[in-house]
Amino acid sequence: MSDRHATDVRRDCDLLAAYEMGLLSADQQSRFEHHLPDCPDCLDELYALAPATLEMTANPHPYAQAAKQALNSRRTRRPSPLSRLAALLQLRGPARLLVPVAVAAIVALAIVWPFSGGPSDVQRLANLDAIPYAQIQLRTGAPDATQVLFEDGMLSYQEQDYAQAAKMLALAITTVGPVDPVDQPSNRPLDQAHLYLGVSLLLAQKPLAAIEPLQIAVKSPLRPVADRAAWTLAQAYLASDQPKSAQSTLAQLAQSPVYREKAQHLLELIDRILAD
Amino acid sequence: MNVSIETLDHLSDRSLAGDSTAQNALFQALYVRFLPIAKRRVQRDHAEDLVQDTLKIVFDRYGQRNQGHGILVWGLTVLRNVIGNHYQAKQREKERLDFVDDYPAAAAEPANVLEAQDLAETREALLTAITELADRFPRCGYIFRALLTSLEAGGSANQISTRALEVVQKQQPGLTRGSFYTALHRCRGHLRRLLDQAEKGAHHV
Repeated sequence: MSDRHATDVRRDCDLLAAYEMGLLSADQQSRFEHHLPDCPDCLDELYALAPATLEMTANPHPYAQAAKQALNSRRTRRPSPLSRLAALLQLRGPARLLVPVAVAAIVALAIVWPFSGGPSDVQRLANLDAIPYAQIQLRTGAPDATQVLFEDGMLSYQEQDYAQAAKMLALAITTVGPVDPVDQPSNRPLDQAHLYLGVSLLLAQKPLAAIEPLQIAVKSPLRPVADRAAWTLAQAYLASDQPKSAQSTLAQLAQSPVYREKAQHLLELIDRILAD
Repeated sequence: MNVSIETLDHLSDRSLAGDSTAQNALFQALYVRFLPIAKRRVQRDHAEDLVQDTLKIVFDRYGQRNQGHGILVWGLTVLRNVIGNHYQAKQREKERLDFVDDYPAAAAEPANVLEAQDLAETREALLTAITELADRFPRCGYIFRALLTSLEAGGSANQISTRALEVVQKQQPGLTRGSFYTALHRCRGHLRRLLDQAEKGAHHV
């Protein structure tokens, strides 16, 4: 099956939900129906949810209301953990800014390390905040299949399904092939994919696996990508107990307007631990 | 057999209007889509018969279906009920053979396949699943809410789709229609898993 045909089939399958809910144009509908005899998975999916689909399309009101109530309920739930913690500590003014740092550290502890064993002092330094996702497209030059897989991966990233995001981004990268080690900008359409793959793997508790894609992204000619990759790479090194590598990576951020101070602070903390 | 470039719904409309060519084409189109599903669920030698039974019912009743229901999805609910009845009949037969002296010879007639046999269960399960979806995956909750609200407002496929997309774009600026459909499909996957989990849980009660 050619790469373009595989992309087309995959795109057809992505239309399943829209087809069920009657959203497609006649052309799209015809195209989706045409692919069905060759797609047992889509047939099974349509079959599985047929009664639910008919019910939702015939009688959408109660389900729209259920979704609305659930979303409202989330919003009006108890105050955020940050607010509650700040109130508990009776912090006021600038001292309240310490709360997100403390919580991030606690979340990092809870997410990264299994209960048995316990993290080392170096591992405790790793900061595991997700990099905000902006609506981005791969740089021009990436094949269609890569673009689709990248978008799919970023949708999962947005949904905080980092394991799935990593899977799709890794697939996006493999459709292009090995990155040219010579840093020619025109040969680097996947720097963003490598960056978000690294972040996703890190957030999916796989810091060792995160290192390689981040090492590639660090070489990006795009400064924001390279800086973010370097920062995240340092966290991956810390989370996998490699303080020396973390130090040399953080040193690269000395000129970064965004990460300079954070990197310097983290270097000081690492120095302190290694000196003990 | 290759399906016509027409949509199945267009074929259905023409068939209902008396076009026998369209009727034959629709029959074949549904047949090649129903048979693989049936073969994965019943013994091979029964699959063909069940699909034929289903198509008979579809062509008897498709003019009476809710016009908002696509012929394929609607036909699949018929197929589900036919297969369900098949299993129920096998079970009754098994029970009859097990208790041949006690079991009434005339077992209850199979339920009308067009009745909403499990409609109340479907509704309850769907309400619970949609609520849980919105709670656990708020972006999906937002997408489904936008879509269902737009469906409620009615209109053409394009109008419904555009309205829903515009609402979702307030949260995700720049989202394309294609990405919206992909996101919807992924959220559907979550919904399906929630429905499957609920069904498994119900069987364990």
